[in-house]
Amino acid sequence: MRQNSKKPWWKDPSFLTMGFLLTLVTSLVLLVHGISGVIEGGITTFELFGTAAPALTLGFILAGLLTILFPPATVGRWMGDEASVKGFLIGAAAGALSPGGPYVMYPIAAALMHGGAGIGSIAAFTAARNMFTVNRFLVYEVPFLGIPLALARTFATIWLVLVSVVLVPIVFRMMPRSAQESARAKIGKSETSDS
Amino acid sequence: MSTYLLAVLVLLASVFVLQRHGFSGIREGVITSALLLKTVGKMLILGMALSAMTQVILPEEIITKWMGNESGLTGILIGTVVGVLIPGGPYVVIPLAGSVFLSGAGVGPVAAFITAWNTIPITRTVMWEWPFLGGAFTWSRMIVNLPFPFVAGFLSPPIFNLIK
Repeated sequence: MRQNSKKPWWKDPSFLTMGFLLTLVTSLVLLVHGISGVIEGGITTFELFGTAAPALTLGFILAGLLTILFPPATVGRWMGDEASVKGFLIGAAAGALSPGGPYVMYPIAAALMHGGAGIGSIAAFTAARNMFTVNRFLVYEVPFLGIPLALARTFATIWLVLVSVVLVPIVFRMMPRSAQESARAKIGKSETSDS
Repeated sequence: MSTYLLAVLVLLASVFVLQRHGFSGIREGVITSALLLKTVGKMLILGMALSAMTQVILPEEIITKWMGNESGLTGILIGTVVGVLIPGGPYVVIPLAGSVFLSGAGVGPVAAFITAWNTIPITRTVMWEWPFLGGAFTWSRMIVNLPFPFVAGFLSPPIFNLIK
């Protein structure tokens, strides 16, 4: 997180891409609807912000507190070398509860793999993290999509965590042995350089 | 409702942090939150502005035609492709999905869009997953996850109708 925030905005590809997209779309609005279209877009932006601000504020506080309660290193130790149903369940729960962006998620997953966690546990962690996180659901999905759509999408996809836990290790074992070994070697380096 | 639920969760988490780490834990938690806000704040504002402008520029009839409830596989496919390609975090993608939904997109395409962004995004995979977890795991996960946006696209509408 700190590492990410040190990057100046003019070197941040996500910010530059977003800035470019916003400029492009705003120019299109100006061309098609004139200045009144841009004003309408500005008002809608403020309305969106007003709707989401309370949930966003609380969500950021919750994310900070969860990081204190479940530090990445501790989560890693919990999952450790458990290549069992318990390991999968802890992996999925850790994925659903862990806050923060990819800069939090991938170092945790890499530390887990380097620490000897089974591919199934890591698949459970990443799948839960991708499919459903408490923070993303409450802070973003419910306010912006509405409860019916947020719930429908969650119910439609939550069982896919189990599919990932079963299938990812099978496909992983089909990968060439050298790729598996180099993956583990690479993970060791990433983890060392990140910590 | 989510705001009240979040408030309860914040309260619970604060009690646990206080119990385990005392006031220094709370202070550290607040500092972490502020750093997180500092990191994603500007992207969040850009994301909301982008979704608002998209709502203004994209005519409802076009969205309804290509991504509406009747668009079937085409809508789900469009949602999936956009989800795979779009960069940024939930602060960009979810507001955008919400505005496209409000403009007439169907439940299936929107669910496919969000699920594709969650499971098979190009930017996050290349920038984060590959360097940290290596090619063998990344490829295995991507191959398994490839059909997930379509599953979401087809299963979400009937569940949505039940809940609604």
